[in-house]
Amino acid sequence: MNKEKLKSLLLVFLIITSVMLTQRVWFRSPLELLQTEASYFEVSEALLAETREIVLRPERIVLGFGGGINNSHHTHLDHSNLNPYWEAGKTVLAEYFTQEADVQVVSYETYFQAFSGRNLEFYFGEGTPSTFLAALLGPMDNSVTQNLQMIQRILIPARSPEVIYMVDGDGTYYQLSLEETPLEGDWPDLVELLENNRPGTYVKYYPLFTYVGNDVLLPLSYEENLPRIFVESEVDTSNESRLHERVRTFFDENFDFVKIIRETTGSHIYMYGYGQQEVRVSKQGRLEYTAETGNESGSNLNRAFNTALEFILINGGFPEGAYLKAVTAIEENGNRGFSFSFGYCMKGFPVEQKRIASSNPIEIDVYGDLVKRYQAMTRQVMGMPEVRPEEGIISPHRLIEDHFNALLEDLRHRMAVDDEVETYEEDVEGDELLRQIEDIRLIYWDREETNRRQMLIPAWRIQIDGEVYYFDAHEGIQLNR
Amino acid sequence: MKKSLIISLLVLLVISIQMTVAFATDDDPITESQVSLEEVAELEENVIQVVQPLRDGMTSRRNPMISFKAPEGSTVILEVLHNASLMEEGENYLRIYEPMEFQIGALQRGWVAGIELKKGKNKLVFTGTLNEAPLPTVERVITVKDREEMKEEVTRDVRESSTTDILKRLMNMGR
Repeated sequence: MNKEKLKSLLLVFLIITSVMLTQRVWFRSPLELLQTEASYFEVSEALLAETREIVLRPERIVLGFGGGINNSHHTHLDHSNLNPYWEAGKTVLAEYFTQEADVQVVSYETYFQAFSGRNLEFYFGEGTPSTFLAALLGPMDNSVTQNLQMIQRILIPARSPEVIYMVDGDGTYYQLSLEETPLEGDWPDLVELLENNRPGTYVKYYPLFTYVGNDVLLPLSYEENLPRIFVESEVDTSNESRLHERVRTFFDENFDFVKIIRETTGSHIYMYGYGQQEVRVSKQGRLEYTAETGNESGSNLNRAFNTALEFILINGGFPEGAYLKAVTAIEENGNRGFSFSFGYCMKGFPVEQKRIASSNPIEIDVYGDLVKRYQAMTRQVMGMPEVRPEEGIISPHRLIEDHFNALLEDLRHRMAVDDEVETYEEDVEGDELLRQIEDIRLIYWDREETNRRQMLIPAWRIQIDGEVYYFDAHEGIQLNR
Repeated sequence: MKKSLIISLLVLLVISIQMTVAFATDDDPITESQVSLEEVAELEENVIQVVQPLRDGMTSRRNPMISFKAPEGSTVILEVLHNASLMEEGENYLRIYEPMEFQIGALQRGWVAGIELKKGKNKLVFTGTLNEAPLPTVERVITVKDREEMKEEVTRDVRESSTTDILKRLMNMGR
C-alpha cells in the first residue's frame, strides 16, 4: 500500500514538473492563461551588460598632444578607434569610482590649464547620469556619484592621472584627486599611449578662438577628404513580407490580430486594438512605435535604461557604432518616465538627420517598465562606389567667415528674443559670436529622402548659443535652413 | 589633543599657502599681454598685428602656432626666412617656404600651423595690401635652439646678470 502511495506521489510530482517545464519553453501559447514568461527573444543578462558597455562608451574622445596655452593641438578621435583609449581611461577611472576621492569645484582656468597639456578628454551624451558610469566601473555609491549627478566630460591629464577633471550637466568644473595613488605599474602609461599610438595621419585641431576666451577646437585645414557615401535603411520597405517579419516582434503573439494599413504615401501602419499598440513605417524606412502605457510611472533611471535597451535589442537591435546621446526626464499626465536618445556612427563619424523636431537616429520613451514611444531610422552602407569631391573638406573657420553676417544676425535676433526686446540693436559684436560657439564637429548628414541609394554627405555641425547649424563640408552650403 | 590641534593648524597653513601659490600661477602673463595687444590693434586700424609670436624671442619649439590680426578685405603675405649665415653676427636670410597668401575675411584673423622652423634665426615677414594700398610690414625674429642650449642660456643669463636685472626682466615678462 505504502509503495502504491509513493508511486502516485512520484507520478504527481513528475506531471507537475513536466507541466512547469513545458510552460517555460512553450513560447506561444494560444491561451492567455497558460501564457509563459519566457520569450523567443529573451535578452540574456550577459547580452544586456555587453550592450550597456557598448552604448556607454564616450560619444567622442579628444586627444590633447600638449604644447601649452595658446599653442596646444588636439585631435578628434574617429569613433572606430576609441577602444584602446577608452580601455586605458576606464582603468584610471575605475580607481576614482572605487576609492575615496577628494572632489573639489575648480575654475574653468584650472581645467583649461590641464586641457593645454597632454590629455585624454572623454565626452558623454547629454545628461548622462554618473550612476551609469559607476555601474560600469565600480560600486554605485562612491564619491563621484555623491558629488556629480551627471557627467558630461572627463579629462585625464596623461602625465599625472592621479588628478582628473570632470564637468557636470550644469557646466561646473570639478577636480578629483585620489587619496591613495596606485602603484606605478598598475596605471596604464597614457603618455606612451598618446605618443606611440598616434593615429597615422590625424587632423590637428586647435583652440583658435582663445583670444575671445573660447577654447572650442577646430582644424585649420582638414587634409583628409571624407567621401560621400551611399546607404540604405535597415528596414527594407520594398519587400512587404520581410517588413511584416521585421515588425512582428513588436506585437509578439498578437501579430495575427494586427490590422495593416497601406497609405498612398508608401507608409505602412500596423495597428493592434484601438490604438493600443501601433507601428508606423515610412517609405524611407523610419520606424515609429507607440503604445498605451496607462498609468505606468517610475523614477528608477537604471531600470528604465535596461528596459529601453532590452526593447531595442528585441526589436531590431542597435546599429554598429551606437552610443548614448541624451537622457532626459519626461512627464506626461502626471506619469514620470525617461527618454533616451542614441546616435550611431558611420565610418567613424556620427550620423545626424534632417528633421524638424530632432536629429537623433534612435529615440525611446520609457514609463515604469513599459515603452511608450520608440522611433528609429538607421542606415547601413551599400556596396556602391564612394564620391570624393575634388575640392576637399572646407575648414570650419572659413565657413564661419563666409556665413558670418547671417550667423551674427541670427544670434542678435535670438538674444533680443531672450531679453524680450522687440527691436534689437546692433550691439552684439562679432567677438560675441565667436565666444558663443559651443561645439564644432564633422558628421554625416542624412537627408532622409529615400529608402535605398541615399547619399550621406559629410557636414560640419556648428553649435552656437544652443542653435545647431549644418554646413555641407565640401560645398559650404547651409543644410538645415 | 594639543598634538592634533597643532597638526591640523599646520595642514591648514600648508593648504592656504598652496592656494595662494595656485592663485599666483593662475594669472597667466601671456593672456594678460594679449588683451593689451588687442586694445592696441583696435586703436591702430589698417595694420597687421602679429598675435603669436607676440615678440621676437627664443624657443625650443620648432613648429609654433602663428596668428595675426589684419583688416577685413586685406591680403596678407607671410614669408618664412632662415638665416643661413655661418658667421655668428652675419645675416643672410633665405626663404625656407613658398610665400603664403591669406585673404582676410570677417574674422580679421589668419592662422598658420605646421611650419617647421630651422635651428638658428628665423624671420617671419608679414606684408599686406588693403584696397591696393600697402600695409606696413611687420617682422618677427624667432631663434630656435635645442632644449639643452636653452637651459644653458638661461642659467648663464641668471649667473651673469645682477639680481635687479633679473627682477626687472621678470616684471617685464610678457610685454
